[in-house]
Amino acid sequence: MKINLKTYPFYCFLLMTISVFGQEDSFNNFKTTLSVGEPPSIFTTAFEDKVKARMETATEVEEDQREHFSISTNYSLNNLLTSGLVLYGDPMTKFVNKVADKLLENKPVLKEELQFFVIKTNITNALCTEPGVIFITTGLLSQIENEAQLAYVLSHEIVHYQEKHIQHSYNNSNDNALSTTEYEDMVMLSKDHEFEADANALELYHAAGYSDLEINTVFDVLMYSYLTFDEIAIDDSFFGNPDIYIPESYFPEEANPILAFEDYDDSKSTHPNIRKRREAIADEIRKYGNWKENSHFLGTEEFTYVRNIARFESVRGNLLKAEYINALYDIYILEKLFPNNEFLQVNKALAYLGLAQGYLANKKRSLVKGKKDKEGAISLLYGFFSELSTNEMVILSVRQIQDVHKAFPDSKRIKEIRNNAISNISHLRSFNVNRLEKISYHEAVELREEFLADTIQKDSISEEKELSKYDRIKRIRAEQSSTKSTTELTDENFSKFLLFDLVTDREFNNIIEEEQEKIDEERNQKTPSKKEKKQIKEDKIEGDILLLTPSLQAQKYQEFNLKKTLLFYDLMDDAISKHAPKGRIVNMGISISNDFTTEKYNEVCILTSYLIQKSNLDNGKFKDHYIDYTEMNDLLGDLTTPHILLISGEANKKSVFKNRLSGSALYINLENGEIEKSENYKVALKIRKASVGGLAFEIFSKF
Amino acid sequence: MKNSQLLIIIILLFGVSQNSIGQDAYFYNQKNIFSIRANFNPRLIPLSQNQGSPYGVGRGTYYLRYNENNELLGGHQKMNLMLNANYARLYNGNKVIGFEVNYQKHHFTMSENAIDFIHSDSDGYYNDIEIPYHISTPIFNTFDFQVQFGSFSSSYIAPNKHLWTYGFGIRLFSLDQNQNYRKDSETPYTDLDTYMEDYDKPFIFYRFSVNYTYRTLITKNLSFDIGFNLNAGLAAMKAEAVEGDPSTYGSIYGDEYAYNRYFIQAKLAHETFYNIIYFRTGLSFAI
Repeated sequence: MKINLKTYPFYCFLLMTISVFGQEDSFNNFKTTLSVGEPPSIFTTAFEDKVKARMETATEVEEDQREHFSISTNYSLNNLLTSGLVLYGDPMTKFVNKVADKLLENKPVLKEELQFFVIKTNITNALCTEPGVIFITTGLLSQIENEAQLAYVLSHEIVHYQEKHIQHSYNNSNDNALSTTEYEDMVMLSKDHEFEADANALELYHAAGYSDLEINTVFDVLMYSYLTFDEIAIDDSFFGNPDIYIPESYFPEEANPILAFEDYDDSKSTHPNIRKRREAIADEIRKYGNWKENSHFLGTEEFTYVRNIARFESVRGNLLKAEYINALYDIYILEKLFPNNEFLQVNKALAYLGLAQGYLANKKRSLVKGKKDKEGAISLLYGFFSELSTNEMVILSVRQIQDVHKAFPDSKRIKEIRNNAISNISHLRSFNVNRLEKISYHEAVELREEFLADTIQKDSISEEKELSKYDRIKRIRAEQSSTKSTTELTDENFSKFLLFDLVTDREFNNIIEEEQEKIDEERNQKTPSKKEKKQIKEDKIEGDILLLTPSLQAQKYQEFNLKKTLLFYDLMDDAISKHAPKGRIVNMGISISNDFTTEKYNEVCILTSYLIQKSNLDNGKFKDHYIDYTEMNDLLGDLTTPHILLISGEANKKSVFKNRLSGSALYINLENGEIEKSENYKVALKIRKASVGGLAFEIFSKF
Repeated sequence: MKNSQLLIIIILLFGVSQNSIGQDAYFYNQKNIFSIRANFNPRLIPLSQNQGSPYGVGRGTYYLRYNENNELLGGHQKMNLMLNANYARLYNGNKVIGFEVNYQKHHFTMSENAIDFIHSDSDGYYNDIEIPYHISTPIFNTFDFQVQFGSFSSSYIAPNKHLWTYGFGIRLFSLDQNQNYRKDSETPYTDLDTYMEDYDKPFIFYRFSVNYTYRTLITKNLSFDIGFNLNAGLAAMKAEAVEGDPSTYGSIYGDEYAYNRYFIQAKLAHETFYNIIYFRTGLSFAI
């Protein structure tokens, strides 16, 4: 399933990016960060008003292009604001704003014009949008080491705004519309802008009194940003439980080396390579005298607090994107600082459950994808998990989740995850639960040692006597295994000993039996006849409809067309109000207008996150677990069989006579996670009331 | 040989089954289409049969009629105009089953043998038609009753854009009896029977048609159609026995019958074939 999430704007040149590829008690009840307080004006000002305001300030853009420029830039910005990823009023945004205030202390006009927000994404990035809105990602916040580094990144983005780089790029792209070297020109221009931003950023940065030594480190942050936010060795504590045996032989002999290369070929990139930037900035730094040595003004405590939030968000972000191994490594790093943290442990359980169900759904390859490209300690984990068979993975997941359950026995949620993990065992093929051993691997090894020592003693006594055939067999067996187990004690059999404490547990066996019965029942069910299938297809959907902002796009002669896209949205709004069933629609779209409220916005953000999770989830027929558990339950509390409705539409004018308008909808049942798809709607019509109305009619005919 | 035939049949069946995998839904759930259209074509006549004319296919037909005062008037019908009413029901996504009625006022092409001769006078040369006789041209009311099958182009949700249908039914030519038919202005009306023996009974043909329509949406229910209508096949329901000497049929000399049933029937079929293609335009209302 592929869901079109309207996230990132298509006009990449309208966004100047600094490309980077790259209080402990308050974390006990950590929940994902949400926006707080009064919504900033940018969320409440209507699109038209923003466009008008922009037209007055875009002085660098040629007059006849100003309207187009203003509409395009605001459209891109709106896409970001409605992506459900932007935060305001939270500790991270507050911190970023404080650092920005420090930088802009002596620039009151600039301070007035600029706004700073944080975006929840693991990509390490910062970007400046034309109306003076600067975004910092949680990925960047999780990677940097101090406030000064953030200050330098912010200064860089501020220069992009100050020097009106986006307006220049826009002019340039227009001037070169017919030139064959358009792309190269644009790239060159962007590179000039980057050097300029790097250099001019020093003015603000220096004036604020930060240390020059941190600038070089910012480039390190950029260079290594593809790695996890910290690099620590993986040892036995990764699996937590000292009683279990995980064979060394399953791990690669050594981790892949870290190869980050700063002098890469940048001819196709909008940003110059890091070496060039480092060299250029070193000359600039020398031009300024009397550098101070501050790396913090706001205190390290607040910085660490904010960075930890960003790191916790990184765990969640990885889970949403089904990057379970990355999430486990994040958790492993954070566990050292926050042992017994419920948020981390629950997410650990979810990561293992996700892995087990992914393996069961034959999606192992996509879960360990990129194994060879991973660098540093995490490559060991990728190597380990790709060695595991499905059986081993499922058993290991039960072990790990059981340990989490033991640490938090009162948590209903963890218990539910554990029971799910146990029931996965029933889905294993050619697997017999009775073969699982009741003692741990270490215990079995000990018993064998004892037995062997014992028999050697006996043997030496009866050295003279010849051993009987059966004594010899016993001895061979004892060398293979222990007296209390039958499995041969080799690395390949480690998983048989993992659940030693659970196999005798009645609940454990009951769960497996129940699931087995369910599976048998399903197998015995007759496959539905053609008629029944048709009936199922025609069945109406009952319950409440959570309507998200549709994802619509119009193209003219193969190019994105903004005016037509806006028309598409307008007509779709009318069509929805006409055809949607009355009283069942819960509007979950983010509308940038007076009606905007923080409460509603947060709800939409949570729902959007669920969609990101759902679109990355590849767990076959297994039940979904909400990552934002309490938030989702609060949201869905009063609703009856809620369904998310995702509408997508595309219009394309290929020539004067060739018009196409197509679209479809996804209905996601939140009770069981099932996804239904509407009929494909495709007409040879342009964007008009009848064609858009037909799409809405088709989509809502399912209700 | 047998194998290749089998292969062709399989490919054809496969093609048909593929075609049936179209859209499952309908545009605003519209499944009934009512259409009113006008079919027209430049009435083509084989002037090659005109011994005096060097030309091949000509256009239009010359006809003679008597008005209320028994005055002989000539005319030239250059167009066929056929009115069409159609009901179609959609099923299985883009498939269509329907019923169609056509109506046309048809001047029989009697003056095929009219001699197109060249006058000359002081102004130069000019063409004219010599009217060879004085008998009225019969006028028929033509009706088609057809069932239709077809499908909309499968890539779009129906009803929309391209529609191909195949029709099968009867075409009925019935003499318009309200005309003032005469052999000439002097002969009384009642004598007409002796000249036009027995063809006031309708002539009935089987007809097979192929139709194409291109729909342009005006509102969500109403659309403008253009297309064409092919007379792809015609067969007489019953061959009529020949009476007398066929070589004289159609002759206007002497007291022989000017026309008889056999002649008329053959001629009507002939005219239909010469006008194999009609262009059509009209409105459709879908609900």
